[in-house]
Amino acid sequence: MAELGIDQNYLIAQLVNFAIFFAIFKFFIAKPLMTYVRKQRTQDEQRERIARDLQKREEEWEMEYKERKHKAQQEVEAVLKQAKEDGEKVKNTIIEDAQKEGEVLVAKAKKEMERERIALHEEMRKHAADIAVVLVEQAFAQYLSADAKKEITKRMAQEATKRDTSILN
Amino acid sequence: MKISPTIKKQLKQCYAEQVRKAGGVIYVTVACEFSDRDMAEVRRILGVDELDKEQVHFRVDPSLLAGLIIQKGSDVVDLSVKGKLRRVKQTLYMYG
Repeated sequence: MAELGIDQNYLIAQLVNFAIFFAIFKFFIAKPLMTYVRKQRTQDEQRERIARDLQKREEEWEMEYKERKHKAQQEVEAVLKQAKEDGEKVKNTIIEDAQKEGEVLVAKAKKEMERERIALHEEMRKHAADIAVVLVEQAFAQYLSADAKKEITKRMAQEATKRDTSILN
Repeated sequence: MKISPTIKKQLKQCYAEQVRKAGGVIYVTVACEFSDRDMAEVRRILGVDELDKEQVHFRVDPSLLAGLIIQKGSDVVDLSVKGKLRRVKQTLYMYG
């Protein structure tokens, strides 16, 4: 060894020194460090697991949310469709009622107009009769002489005796 | 059928008597003033020439136009032109 330039004592001292260093390092630094690292790893794993759980739960919630949203949307659509149908029915009913009411009003108005037309016609007829009679009366009054009146009177009297003389009996 | 003048005269006397008994007065309304001769003719035509003048009264109503109205009690026979026109008017009202 000496021939190689290696001091045996120094080597032993170095070895002992190394052993002491190793022991100190192992027991006082490496062990707590490893414990800490393991603890950190365990915590990381837990965190990852929790994160995965959370992710999974979030996905589930997302799916559930989407499902519920879809369902709600369908329900809303169904309600809207129903409301639209109901509205349409109500609208049709209102239109139908209005049409019927309108027809009744038109029929009534026609009837009223017809009645008024007949009444007017009747009135006109009466006026025409009145005018005709007045004209004839005026013509008679104007053109009948006293002799003609007497002659007519005598003829009427003759007619009376031919027809009915019960009043004179 | 022709009635003999004798029977006619007797009939006239008979109902003149009846009128007298009943106290009925006949009112004859005419359209214009009649002379005595005209009134006598009308009385003759009506067959009341046997009655007294008080029993056959003549009245004038120019609105009759022509013809006459005979009234005895509540019975009335309208033979005036005015009445005929009124009836014509009624007919026109009814049948147009």
